[in-house]
Amino acid sequence: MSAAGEPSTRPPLRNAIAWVALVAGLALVPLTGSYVTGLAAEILIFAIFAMSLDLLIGYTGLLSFGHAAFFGVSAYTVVIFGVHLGLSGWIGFVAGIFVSALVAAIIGFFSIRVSGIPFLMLTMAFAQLLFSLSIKWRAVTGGTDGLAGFQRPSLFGLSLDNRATQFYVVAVGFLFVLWFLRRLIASPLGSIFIGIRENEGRMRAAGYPVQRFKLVSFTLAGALAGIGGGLYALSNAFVSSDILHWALSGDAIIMVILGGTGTIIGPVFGSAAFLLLKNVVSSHTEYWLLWVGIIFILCVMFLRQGVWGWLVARLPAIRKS
Amino acid sequence: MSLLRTDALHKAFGSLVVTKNVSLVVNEGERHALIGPNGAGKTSLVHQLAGQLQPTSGRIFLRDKDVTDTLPEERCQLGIGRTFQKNNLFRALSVRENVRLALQSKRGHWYECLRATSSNRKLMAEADDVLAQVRLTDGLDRAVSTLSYGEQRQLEIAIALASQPAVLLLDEPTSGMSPAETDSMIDLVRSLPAKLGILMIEHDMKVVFSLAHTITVLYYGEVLASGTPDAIRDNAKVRDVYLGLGH
Repeated sequence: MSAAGEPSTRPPLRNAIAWVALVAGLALVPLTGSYVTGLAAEILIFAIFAMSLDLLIGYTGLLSFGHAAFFGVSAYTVVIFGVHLGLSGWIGFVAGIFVSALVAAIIGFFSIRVSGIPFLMLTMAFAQLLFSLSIKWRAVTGGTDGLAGFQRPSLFGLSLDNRATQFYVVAVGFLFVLWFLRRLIASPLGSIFIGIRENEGRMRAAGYPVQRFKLVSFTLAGALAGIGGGLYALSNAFVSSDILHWALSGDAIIMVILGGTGTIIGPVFGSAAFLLLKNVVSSHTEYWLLWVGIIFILCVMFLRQGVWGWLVARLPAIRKS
Repeated sequence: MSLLRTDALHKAFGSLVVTKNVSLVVNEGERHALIGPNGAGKTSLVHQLAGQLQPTSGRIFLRDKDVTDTLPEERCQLGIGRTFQKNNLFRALSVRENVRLALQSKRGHWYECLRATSSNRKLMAEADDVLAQVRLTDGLDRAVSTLSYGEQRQLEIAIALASQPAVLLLDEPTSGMSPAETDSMIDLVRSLPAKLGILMIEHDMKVVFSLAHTITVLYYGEVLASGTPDAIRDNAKVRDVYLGLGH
């Protein structure tokens, strides 16, 4: 846990090399063709979503079961702004992040008053409330049919209708969230979140207003999920109520646990593992979720630190760095 | 000057009264021991002083400011520090980080989110200073869970000291310690800043009589006696209900 949990201990040169390798790797993805590029973009979008959830689960110790709300609200904001108001997807993207943060602040304000299972139930209930709203408010959301007709914006003259452009935009968002979370976790604010996860009572006795920082974490995680949701809307140009369903919150939890809670990069592996399973296995059998379930159970039983934790334990080079 | 003062403090859980009309004073520089048999309400009293428990009636004053209705985190910021009877640490974090986190609580920078904590060398050095005060100087990068029990008791005090309290509440600092560890804990408490007011719950009479200026005896939530160590030693009531058991 500590290897990825304390990125500041990594020597600057190795750190720079890792970033350069990552950026170069991502830059090359569109060469692999449209199918793989699309899948890779999806993995990165859900990696952002899972990383943002891990800020709550893995770093603040808040098991939220309603994280789809923030992803979904942002995606809806982008598409609704575009379809109903004719606003550019970029304006929608920025607005979506703000709306997600606002909704997270409101839901968080009520939810953090309780903890444990009641917290989990409350966050899920709020998310389901938004899900119902998206189904019933057909005039705005298109209900279960979803809302189509969104025109993707362009960037420096390059239309996001192009798969490669889409991917690069998503990759920039992903790199930003990865960079930000690594900085955050090593920072004073991040250390407060970790302290709350470790020992809430002692944090209060040490003079920290714990409730306030839980809300800060919840709102931040909501805004980051909003980045994922906005990118989802920009690349899919379509949104339907599935995106607010509790099942998506559940998927995100599976991704976090598969990859490794309390690590920054872990949820990225979790997202990749989950979506690869979904895409590869579902082309062979419609019971793909059964296989995800079995692998999840095995992971919880034998890879307690997730895929990333398992890798870290087996690659001494990574552990040392 | 009185640092911490309670005025007719009273706490009841239904019909069970754990604190009954307790008025006591801890002055600047005073080492005040709180003794009494198990179930006398010592820890409940400390919980009320530190804000973890709300008294049913009565007031608590810190330097004549009424703090009865403040939260634990506010009391810490105002200057009431405490340790816990059972080690209450950040177990997965390093020894230094435990103290750095507690120091940071008083220093602000709470919302700094892009700069690494490790780049604040001054705070790291201060953490090492506080740890040296409780005689922890080696292996500060180790996880707390690898420390011995006695070292964890020392760290418990370091975390409380890090918030620079005016008055420190020690809840059985030597509980579970070997005689040798107890002796070094006595030295440690003796070496704490002279101006600090200390209220200490303790069962070990050796610790009590070698440190305390004042002793208050609690019995079923009530103050049975309060005075100098000599006065308490000679108090017939105290001998009867408490000291007689151990001596």
